[in-house]
Amino acid sequence: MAQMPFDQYSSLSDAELLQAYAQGAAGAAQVLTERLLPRVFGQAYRILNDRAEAEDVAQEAFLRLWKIAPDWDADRAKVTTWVYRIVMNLCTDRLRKVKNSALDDAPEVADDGQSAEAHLLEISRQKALYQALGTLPERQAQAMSLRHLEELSNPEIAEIMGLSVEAVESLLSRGKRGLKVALQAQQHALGYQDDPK
Amino acid sequence: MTQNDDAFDMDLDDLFKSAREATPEPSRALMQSIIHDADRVQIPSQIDIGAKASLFARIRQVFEPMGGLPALVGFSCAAVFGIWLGGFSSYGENILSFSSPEVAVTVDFVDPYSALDLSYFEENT
Repeated sequence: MAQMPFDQYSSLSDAELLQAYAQGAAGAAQVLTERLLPRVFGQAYRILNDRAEAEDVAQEAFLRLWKIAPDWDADRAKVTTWVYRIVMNLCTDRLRKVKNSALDDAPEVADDGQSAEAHLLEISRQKALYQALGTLPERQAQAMSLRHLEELSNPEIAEIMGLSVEAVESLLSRGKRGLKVALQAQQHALGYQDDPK
Repeated sequence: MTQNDDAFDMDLDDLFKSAREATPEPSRALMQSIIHDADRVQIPSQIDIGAKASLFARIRQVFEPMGGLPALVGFSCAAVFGIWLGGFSSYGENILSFSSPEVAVTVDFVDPYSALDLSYFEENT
């Protein structure tokens, strides 16, 4: 594989970068990592609510990607879809091991200059959301997370989860109802008031 | 949380949006670790490819002081002939039988002076 100038890798697709990496091109891995890591880390972090755990999962997911690179079949799956699936599975394995502790802590909220009261409310809202997600059945929580946190389309979620689009729609519908029930119990923590009936 | 479905959807969208925005950026150290892993996984495969490509060159390097390509060809022919001789040739078996202990014993008992009888000397004196 001829070595390309570093900036020219940016024009390649994920699959082409992976192929270039497999053929020994220096720099392809860095471009692919910079492109995918924020999404991979973000997905793991939002599921696990733990920075160190999310970093471990992200590193493991990329390690698997590097290892599979020589055998990568671009026609079989998109790189992002494959990585999302790996991250989801790795996170699920970790959550099963620490079922009751991981979802108790909300992710830290970035300090963007908001007041202490608003900051605490933001933490409460996120904690409530993650706790509500944690009450859902595993597949519903995965579908809801991929749809609303990762902002993936239903066909993409179907491919990642190995389901039909209809099955995903069903999971999302039931997940939404489950979230509604779980969140209603925490209206005050969320800073919402009941509507007058 | 409102009881109205539309309002609930808006609240839920708002909650998810906040959660997305609250996700921190991955650290530079994590990026470096992942790229280090990539290099570590990539290097062995490059060595394999290099080893395969230079196999013939290394063989040539070994035989260069011994005469180069002609020596290599001669060595190969000798090796093939040796294998054929040892494994497949009946000619080889005949050659080997000359050095067998049985034949050697027979040769030991042959008297090279058997025709040189003492009576011959006696008759000619």
